[in-house]
Amino acid sequence: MNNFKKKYCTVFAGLIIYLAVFFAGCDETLEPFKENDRFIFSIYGWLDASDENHWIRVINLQEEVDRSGGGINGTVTLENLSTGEQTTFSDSLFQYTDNIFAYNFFANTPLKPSETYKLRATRTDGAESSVTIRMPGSFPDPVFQRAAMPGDPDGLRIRGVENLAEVSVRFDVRFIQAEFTQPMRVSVLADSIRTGSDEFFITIDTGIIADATVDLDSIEITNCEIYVARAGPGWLHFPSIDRNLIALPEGISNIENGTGYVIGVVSRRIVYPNARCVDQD
Amino acid sequence: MKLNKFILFLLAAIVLFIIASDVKAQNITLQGIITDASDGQPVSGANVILLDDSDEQVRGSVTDQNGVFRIRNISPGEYQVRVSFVGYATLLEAIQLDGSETSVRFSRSLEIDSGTLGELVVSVPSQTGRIMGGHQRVSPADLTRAVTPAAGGDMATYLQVLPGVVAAGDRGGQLFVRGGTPSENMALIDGLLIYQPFHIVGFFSAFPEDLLANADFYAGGFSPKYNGRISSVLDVQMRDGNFNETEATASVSPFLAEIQMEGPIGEGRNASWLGSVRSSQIERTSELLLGEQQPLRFESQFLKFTQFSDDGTRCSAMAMRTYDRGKLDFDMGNSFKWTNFVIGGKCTHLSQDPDIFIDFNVGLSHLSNSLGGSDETNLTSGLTKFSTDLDMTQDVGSIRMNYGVYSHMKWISFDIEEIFQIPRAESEILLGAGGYAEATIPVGNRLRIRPGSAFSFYTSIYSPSIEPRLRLSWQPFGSDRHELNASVGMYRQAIAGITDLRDAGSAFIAWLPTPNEQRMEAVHSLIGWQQRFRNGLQISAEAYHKGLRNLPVTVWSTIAEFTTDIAFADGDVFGLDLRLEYGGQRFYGFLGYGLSWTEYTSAQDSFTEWFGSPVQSYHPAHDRRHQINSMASVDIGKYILGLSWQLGSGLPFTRQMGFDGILPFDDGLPNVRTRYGTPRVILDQPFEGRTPAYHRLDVSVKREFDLSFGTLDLQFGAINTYGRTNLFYYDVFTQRRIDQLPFAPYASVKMKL
Repeated sequence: MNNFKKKYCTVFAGLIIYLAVFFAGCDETLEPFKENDRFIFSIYGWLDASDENHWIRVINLQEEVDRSGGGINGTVTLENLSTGEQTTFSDSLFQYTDNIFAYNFFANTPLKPSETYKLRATRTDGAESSVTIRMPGSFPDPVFQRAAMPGDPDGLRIRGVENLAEVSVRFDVRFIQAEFTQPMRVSVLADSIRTGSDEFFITIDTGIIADATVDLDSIEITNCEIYVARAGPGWLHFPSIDRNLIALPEGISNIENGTGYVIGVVSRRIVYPNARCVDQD
Repeated sequence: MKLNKFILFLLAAIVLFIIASDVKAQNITLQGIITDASDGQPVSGANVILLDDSDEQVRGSVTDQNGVFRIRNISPGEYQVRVSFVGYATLLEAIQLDGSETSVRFSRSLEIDSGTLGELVVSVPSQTGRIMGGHQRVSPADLTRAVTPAAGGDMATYLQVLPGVVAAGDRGGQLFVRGGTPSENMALIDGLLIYQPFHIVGFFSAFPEDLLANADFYAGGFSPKYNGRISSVLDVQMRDGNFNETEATASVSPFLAEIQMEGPIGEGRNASWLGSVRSSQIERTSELLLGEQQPLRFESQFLKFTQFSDDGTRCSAMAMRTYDRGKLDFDMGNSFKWTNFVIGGKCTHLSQDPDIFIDFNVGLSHLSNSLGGSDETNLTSGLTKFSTDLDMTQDVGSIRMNYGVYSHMKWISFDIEEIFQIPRAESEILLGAGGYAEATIPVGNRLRIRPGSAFSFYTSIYSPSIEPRLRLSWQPFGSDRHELNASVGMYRQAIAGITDLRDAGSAFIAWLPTPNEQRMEAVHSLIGWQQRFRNGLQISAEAYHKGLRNLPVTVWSTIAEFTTDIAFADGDVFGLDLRLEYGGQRFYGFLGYGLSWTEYTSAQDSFTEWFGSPVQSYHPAHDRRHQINSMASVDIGKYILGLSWQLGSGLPFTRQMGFDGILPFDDGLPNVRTRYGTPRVILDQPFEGRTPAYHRLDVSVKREFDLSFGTLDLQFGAINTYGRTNLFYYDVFTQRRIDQLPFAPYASVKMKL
């Protein structure tokens, strides 16, 4: 091999070896997470002015799904914007399926219909997500209408409600042998028919409790009631919204500097007469 | 309107052909087939030179992939024909052309030059550094140079050394060529389509070195002969069996075991057979070798019969089956599976009319692939194509005409509704036909212009298509050592292969007619310069652009496992390939650099709410900006040392900004204490992040031993020699990082009897 070719070979081989050694020492870590100030917290839940116990889910939008219960590194507060009264929520760790943890925040405080509140989740560094909640006004008790003929469904008439957030049949199931009681809820919201700007009629199958408990043995059903909730301004008709839009962080969110959905409601509970309920005459 | 234009074009072509046919030179044509005397294989790339009585070159030609050469416009006289190719003894023979025949057949066999046999691998001229208008020839010797963890080279490993070819990783079988996705590439085996020829272990394909005769790789700007794909073409000719003697080869390495047998049929030495069985071993050996089991498996079976006759007819029948199965994420995720089956026949004929070469193919290509294994996902897709193709090459005066016609029937079936919301039937039958014509027109001695067009039509769904293409080559100094190549052309594709782009680790491709019933389209433009120096150095540079239209892409969602709709994107690809190659007697070196920029633009309903604009532009997951590839092999005594080093800049991926669970309000007020909700990833704009750069060094040392009963090849080497942790992909929904192979040593043994 002549000198010219030797020089070529040497330069070629040397260049490849140099590049290999140079880059062999380089380390680049993968950074899959993008820091942002658009979404600080994820907040979901509802505040019921007819109840004193309130639960709100707050998740610190962090790098990984919380699988160790690490907490949100912040506080959750509720302020009455008229009076300035503040309530601090306490946290409680919950574990769900797939070994996922989340903190829910609770407070035991009366809320007033037609008032406006601000819920804030504030991180220790001052970053904050918040939502303004306008509580609706009260409304009359719904009127239960027993089925006129055997085989017909019962009916429920609701007045004074523009935004119907929930209609459900609720009851307690007591497992006789295991001696524990579990609450159950069957929604009938999908069967609601709007009969006026603030009126609804819902049909309730008489066998609704029996159907819900058909697979349960040795039980007693007690405390049967119908729960109706009226939502305040900002309520969305979720069944008509595209689920891809719901999935987007800003699709239907009412959280500032965050994502999620929190609504204020006022509720009513009436006794639900059903043959399956043992504590009814 | 389009049909009228198509008919007019066809009529014009026929009239032109009839007129031109009358214009024939009354000179002599010398033609024939050059074969290897040891096994009867056609020799591609051999120089056939006609010398006058002063030893001056009068005319010359190079044998094509079928070993055929043709020298035209020869005046009567006495000549010498010199046939030469590296590794073979030069043949020099006197002939007398008295003009009594206008066509003289000159088919000869070349003997191996035993004096250069040992140097054959290193010094065989390579085409790697030479790209001409997107086109590159590939020989078995080229495959040997790319370090492969088996006893021989493989097309999959070799292609990944080329600038402009991007692999997502070392598994999955997905190659992206100059911005085009895997389903936009066409792979042919002996003229028949094979849909997914690259194995799930990324070093291997249906085209190993030992079965390869030669191949043409078109990274873009391909001729109208190839129709139905918009990105690239890999046209592979498989080797014939040995016509003279029976041989057997067996090899094994931790990655692969192979057995190959071949031999003559009958006593006439004009028929042969070749069979090969290959089976991966990595699933068995990975735990010992790599410390973790890799659930990857592939196998292939190949059988070919060939017969040729003295009248210039060569026919073969071939069957190939491949099977791949595995998980790309070894610990979680779904299992991918695909099977190719190709069967068919091919005949070529050098006709009595000296100006026509005929190539006829008939065959069936089938692919079935599936994704499954979890409770939620089971997807299948199947595609079967029966096709007939007739290609002709004819000289009309000084113009060479290439033209052909084809017909096909495709059965398409799919069950993908779980993931792709496509409102189509679960099966389709498409009937189609088409053809092409291309003329090679010499303008003086230095310029060749090749205008042409492809045309196709289907009986349903799609309107007829005409795809004009123009290629040219210019040798400004009158020598093929310096050549400028350029091309521009339109390319269309009716059958789309759709992948869930949200999951970069997916190898499942759903093959179906484009959901909006419009063909995918690309316009290729490229220009390049290649130059060979007398000292063995060659350089080439090629710039290209692809304008893409109507590409099916998945709609982005923040929810994993939800079904996704299909939207459509347009795109642009800009790139530059630089190649430097040196081939000496004992040293070979290649250095390639690829610069590429790919951008898609898509309009999706969700983008307005998500990003504030209905149209987003993004760089798709295969947009590798920079690539450096290098190969070197050195002949040191009886050993051949090889090394390959690759560097690629990071690939785009979509970063996340957080995780939560979406609580539903559509059926009442959700209980936050009992329901987490639907897991959601808050995503950044699509593909705004970049993965780390990837680089890898592979080395090998080979030695051949001559034994009394055959030869023994030993090879030792390592993939990823310095143990770089290269990312394969990042699963944004499970936040898991999946890496490519760690340091992987190997040894291989190959016995040839």
